[in-house]
Amino acid sequence: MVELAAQSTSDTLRSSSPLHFSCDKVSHTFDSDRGSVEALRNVSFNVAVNEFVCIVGPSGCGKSTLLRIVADLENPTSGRVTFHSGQRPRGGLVVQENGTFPWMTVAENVAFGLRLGGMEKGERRDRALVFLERVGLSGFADHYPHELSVGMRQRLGIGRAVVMDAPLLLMDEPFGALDAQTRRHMQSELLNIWASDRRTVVFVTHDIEEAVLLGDRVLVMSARPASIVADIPVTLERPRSFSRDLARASGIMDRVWNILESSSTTP
Amino acid sequence: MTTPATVISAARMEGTTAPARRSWSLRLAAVWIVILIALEMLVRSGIDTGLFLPAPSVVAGSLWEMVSSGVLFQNLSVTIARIAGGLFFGGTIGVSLGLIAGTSHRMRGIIDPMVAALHPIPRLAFFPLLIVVFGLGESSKIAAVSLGAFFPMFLNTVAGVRSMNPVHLDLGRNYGASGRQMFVHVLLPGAMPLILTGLRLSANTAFHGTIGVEMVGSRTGIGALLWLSWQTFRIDNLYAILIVIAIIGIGLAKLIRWICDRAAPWLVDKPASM
Repeated sequence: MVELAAQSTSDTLRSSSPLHFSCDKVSHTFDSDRGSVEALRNVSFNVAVNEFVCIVGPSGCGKSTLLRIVADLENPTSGRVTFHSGQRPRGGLVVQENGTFPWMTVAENVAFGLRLGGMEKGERRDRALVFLERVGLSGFADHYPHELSVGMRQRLGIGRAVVMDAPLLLMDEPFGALDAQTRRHMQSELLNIWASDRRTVVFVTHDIEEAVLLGDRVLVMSARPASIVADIPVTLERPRSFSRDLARASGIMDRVWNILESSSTTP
Repeated sequence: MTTPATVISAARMEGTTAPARRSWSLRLAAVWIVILIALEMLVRSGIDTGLFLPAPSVVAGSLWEMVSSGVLFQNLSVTIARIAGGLFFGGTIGVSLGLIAGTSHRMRGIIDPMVAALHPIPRLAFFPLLIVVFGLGESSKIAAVSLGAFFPMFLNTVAGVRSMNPVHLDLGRNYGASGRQMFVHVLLPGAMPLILTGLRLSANTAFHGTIGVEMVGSRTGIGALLWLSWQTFRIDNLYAILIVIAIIGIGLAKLIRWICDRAAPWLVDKPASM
C-alpha cells in the first residue's frame, strides 16, 4: 500500500513519511431548485502521515465541503479521495460550533466514539476521564455541555476526537467562534496534544495567521469554484512558540495574503 | 478559568429558591380562604340564593358524599384509565409515525396528506363514526381519546426530527454509528425536546377528550357524572365535580413534568437561551 502511494508522485510530497491520503481531481457541484453551484473544481493534494495541513481560503469557497468529502459525509461529483492505509478512518471530525451532544454529559460526549465501538461502560469512562484531563476539563465529567463556556465545549469536541485512535483529525474552523485570547490558548493546547500524540491533521480556517502558526503546510484555495492555488511550506521549526514565531511568520503570511488577493478576483 | 462550582451555582440561579416558593403558596392559600369565606357569607346572608353559586360548605358536603359513597373513586378510576389508554395508544402511534415521517421522505409523502386531511376536523366529530366501528363499549371511547392524543404527538415528533442540528447527524456518521446506534444515540435524543412537548400537549388533549366523550356518550366516568349533575340539577355536585376535574388536571400536569424531567435530564435547569 505504501509503495503504491509513493508512486503517485506529487510536487507537494517533500517529506519522507508515507502518504496518508490523496485528493485526486475532486470536483463538487451542488444542485438546488435555483440551479447548480460549482463549489470545488479539480482539487488535488496529498497529505503525508502525521502531517499538519492547514487549508485557508475566502469564506464560502468550499473549504468545509472539501473536508466533508474527505470525511466521507459527501460524495464528490467527480474525482476521488484515496486512503493509502486502506480504509477510511472512523471519527476524528471536529466542527466549528454546537458540535457537542447536549443530551450527553461531558464524559459521555468524549466516550461517544468508544461507545459506538462497543467498549464496555467502565472502561470507556476511565479512558474518557484521562482525555478530559488532557483537554483541561477534569472535574466537569458529569456536567452537561450547556453548563460549559464556548471554549470549554470546543475543547470537549477535540477531546472526543482524540480519545479515539483515529489517525486523522479533520477540523473545520474549530476555533472560529472563540475570542482572540481563548483562541491563542486553544491553538497551543492543540499543538501540545498533537506533539505528544502525533496524528495527521487537516485544519480548515479562514485565519491566515492561525494557519501559518499551526501548520506544516498551508493550502490556499481560491474563491468559488474553489481550487488549490498555492501549497506553501511553513519553515518554522517545532515545537512552535507563538511569541517567537509571530515575527518570523509574517513573511509567509504576506505570501499567503498576496496569493489570496490575486486569486479572488470575483467580488 | 471557570471552576465547576461557579458554573453550577450560575445554573441554579435560574430556578426559584425554596423559601420564595413557600411564601407564594401561603399567599395563594390566603387568597382562596378569603374568597371562600366571602362566598359562604354571601349565601348565608341571603344575598345569593345558592342556586347558581352554592355555599362552599354545601359543595364540600356533596363532595364528601361522593367520596364516602364510593361513587367518586369508581368513576375517577374509569376516567383515569381512559386518559391513560388514549394517551398510550395515541402517543405511541404518534411517536412511531412521526419518527417514520420525519426520517423518510417517501413515507412522509404518504402520511402527511392523510394527517393534513384529518387534522382540521374536531376530534369529537369522529366519535359517532368510532361508535359505529368499535361499538358502544370501552374501545370506541379509548379510540376517540387516542385520536385526539395522536395529532400533537405526531406533529411535534416530525418537527423534532426535522429541526435536528445536521452537524449531530454528521458526527454520528463520522464516528461510525450503525443505523440502530444513530437512532438510539443521536436521532431520538435530538428530537426528544419536541417529543416531550408533544407528550405534554397530547396529555392535555387526552384529558379534555375523555371528559368530552364521557359527557356525550358514556354512563360512567367523571364527565358522565358532570352531565348527570346538570340533568338532575344538582348544582352543588356540578361544582364538586369541577373541583375534581381541576385536581385531575393538576395531577396530570405534575406527572407529565416528572416524566419529562426523567426522559430528558439535560433539559432540567437549562437556560432558555440554548
